[in-house]
Amino acid sequence: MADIPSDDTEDALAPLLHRCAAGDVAALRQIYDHQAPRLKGLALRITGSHAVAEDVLHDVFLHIWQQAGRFDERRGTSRAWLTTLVRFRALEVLRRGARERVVSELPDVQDDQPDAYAQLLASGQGQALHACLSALEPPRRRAITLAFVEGFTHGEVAAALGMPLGTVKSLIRRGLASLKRCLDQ
Amino acid sequence: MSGAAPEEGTGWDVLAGEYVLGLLDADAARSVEQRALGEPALAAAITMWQDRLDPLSDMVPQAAPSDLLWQRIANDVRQPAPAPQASRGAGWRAAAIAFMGIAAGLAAFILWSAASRQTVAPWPRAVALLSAPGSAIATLRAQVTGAGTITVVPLRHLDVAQGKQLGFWAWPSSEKAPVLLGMIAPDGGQLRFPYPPREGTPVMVTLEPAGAPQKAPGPTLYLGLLIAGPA
Repeated sequence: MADIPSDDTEDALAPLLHRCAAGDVAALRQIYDHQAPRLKGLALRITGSHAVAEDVLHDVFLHIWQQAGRFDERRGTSRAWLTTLVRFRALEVLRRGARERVVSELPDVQDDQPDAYAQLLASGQGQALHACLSALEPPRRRAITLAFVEGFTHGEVAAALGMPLGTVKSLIRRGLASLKRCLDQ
Repeated sequence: MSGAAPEEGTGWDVLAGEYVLGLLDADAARSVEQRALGEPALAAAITMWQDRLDPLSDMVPQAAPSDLLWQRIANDVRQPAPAPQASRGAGWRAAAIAFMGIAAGLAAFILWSAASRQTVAPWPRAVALLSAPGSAIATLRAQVTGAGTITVVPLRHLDVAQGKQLGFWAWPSSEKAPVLLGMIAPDGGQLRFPYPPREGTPVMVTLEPAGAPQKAPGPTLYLGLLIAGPA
């Protein structure tokens, strides 16, 4: 772990991915040591089960190992790539219907509380996101956050916000458009 | 979700955002992935959202993995990581490699099924995950064992039209053209694989007319490349 720069360095993990592509298991272990707690937290949040979250991480780390040579830095940061792999794999497992969310295992994420959003301030990218999310109307901010953090569908976001489905779809689309405009500034 | 088309005035940004958030159903997500392969602006919008939204993952409390998790991973990565074999020309070998290279950059290139993990030893000598051209989602898993056989397992339900059947082909480097290994049922099958299970060997499932002799592959339904197992 010592030779991995902080998360603020966008491509901090990229050299390790290149070493994985060359068959270096120690590099995979370094990525694991550095990222597994964050990624498991994400998988746990979406699947609601420690066991399923670990299955998700197992699959994703095998995928990283096998596909590391095809990671393309021009297509985004390595950290975001790992996040996406975990979120999509967790959503795939969840939506295949094999599992119900086990809500009781989950600690609460108070995503409408200032402290939770304050976590975003830890990185440069996060500061820009924090500023632009803060500028959104609260329902738009909350809908986008629920979708990302909880892996909610439109219907689940609608239930959580107590709003009609059509309203929530429109809310999210407008929220994304506003967010993009703000992030581009 | 009404299909892979941008909303007026937003370019691809809103659709790409919904895709990255995971809000689209499976069909709509696949449509976006296919469209992104031919629309660099959509692919770029997907990457943009992945990077921009990534800090949201820091809002979630971290969770310590169990001691066993790394052991499971380490046990499964004993073989060297694969490198794509050089294409030897046009045709579906090149298409398979090119497709996999492109799709790997997209978000949904996640190919493992829960079923595949339930397979108990012996280790496969090689394995391939087959996806529809343009899709990043695996539909079948093909596994070569030491006995010179290849076992094909669908990862999702397959419907085959009346009067059609599924052909399974491989293109080992020793052959000048794809070789038909046999037909598989919609629920899979086991075929002879009389070749070295070499890394990068393309395999393919095609749609063939029932009962007719197959000299050349019919329309390609699913493509993949073998990844070698441990020696």
